[in-house]
Amino acid sequence: MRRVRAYRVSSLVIRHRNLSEADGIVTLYTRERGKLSAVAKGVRRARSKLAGGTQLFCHAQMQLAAGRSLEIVTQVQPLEVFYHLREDMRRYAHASYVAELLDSLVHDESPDPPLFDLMLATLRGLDNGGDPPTLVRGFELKVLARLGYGPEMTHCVICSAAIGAGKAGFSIAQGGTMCGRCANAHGAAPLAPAALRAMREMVELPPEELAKRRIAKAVGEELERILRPFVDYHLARPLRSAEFLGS
Amino acid sequence: MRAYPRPLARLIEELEKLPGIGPKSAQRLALHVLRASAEEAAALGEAIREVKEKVGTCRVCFNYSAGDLCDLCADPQRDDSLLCVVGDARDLMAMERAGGYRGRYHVLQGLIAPMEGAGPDSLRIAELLSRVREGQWGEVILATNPTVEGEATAMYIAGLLKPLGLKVTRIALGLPVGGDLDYADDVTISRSLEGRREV
Ligand SMILES: [Zn+2]
Ligand SMILES: [Zn+2]
Repeated sequence: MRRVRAYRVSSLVIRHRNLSEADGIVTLYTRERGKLSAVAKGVRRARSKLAGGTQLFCHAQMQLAAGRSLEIVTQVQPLEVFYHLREDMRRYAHASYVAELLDSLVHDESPDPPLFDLMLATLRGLDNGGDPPTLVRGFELKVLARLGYGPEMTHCVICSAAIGAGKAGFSIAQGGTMCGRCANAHGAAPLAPAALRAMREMVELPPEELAKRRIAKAVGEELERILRPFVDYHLARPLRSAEFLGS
Repeated sequence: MRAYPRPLARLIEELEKLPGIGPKSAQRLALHVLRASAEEAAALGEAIREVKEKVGTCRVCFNYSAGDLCDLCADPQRDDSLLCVVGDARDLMAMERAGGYRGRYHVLQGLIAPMEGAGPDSLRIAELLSRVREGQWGEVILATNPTVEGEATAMYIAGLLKPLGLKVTRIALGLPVGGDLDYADDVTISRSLEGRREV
């Protein structure tokens, strides 16, 4: 089946690189086609019509055409540029992290509209003053669950006992929660009940709701200690923006 | 490439590593070098060797320089109260080409880009701060590109400079968002400089 020559997509720019003297190459996460890379010709020149909408993080309506190897951006209408992400290093770094994480987790051209909506809501939240750790931990949990890598959060990964309000642990290698006894036996890191509650709640909450929440600092730190290595466990290589955030 | 004698294939391989040079261009350039006179080819080889040997960075502004101090820092005619901060040496050249600016420069040698692993520590930001503290500057102009990286870097630096109590300005973004200073025409650059605003 031949591909249509030009088509429109809702897109988020998750990576932007210079390709040559004048051209740029963008990695897009689109609602209709999933991840794809496209060349934005002449984008580095002053007065380029494509420059605004092909900026990193930009939410845009794009018209693409199938090129020889990569798609070609033919028209862009920026919808949201998320300007505040540029004004605050912390937000900029967290937005870079979610973009890089999404880029490394998804394969080219496997559309997933709810995942697009999650990414969009997360960028909006980061831009609108939402709490970066809450949004990012929520994004990690949701994106992993969506792709089938989500951690077990209700039962013990060893003995299948239900995890109640008592002592519990978390094992990255085993993929989730352990009951107190198994956690002891396997030397799994302890997991505070408040952190487990937050995880369960965050994975269920609609992404727009996450932007209105703020997890307690200690819970956020515990979740970061658990989820960052858990995320890395599923990646081929470490994320540069994660190192940036850690420093 | 096996049809070419080894030394020619090697030159093609080396040229292909250059940015924007594909296999076809590399082949064309290599054949051009081969057809050129021995003097011309030697001059090219010598220029490449010399640029690596003699060009370093200026110890004050981090522009490229053949000496300890670049020509701009050594020039007594430049205005010591104005400091213009740019991402790289090409942006500095673009500003100079546009003319109209008579102050000093500071080259960051990059922009903050978390996804590229480029943090504030990999740039010449600490050097900028000590330079600003030690000088008698009236104004620091942030002239990084109007891209996400350029803006974020400018805002970050503005946050560090403001507490020092001096005037910090950002070039006007009549320069289109996403554009590259290096590719803007001179009039656009002059206007963006004239229309700079305090941040
Ligand atoms: Zn158990
Ligand atoms: Zn200098």
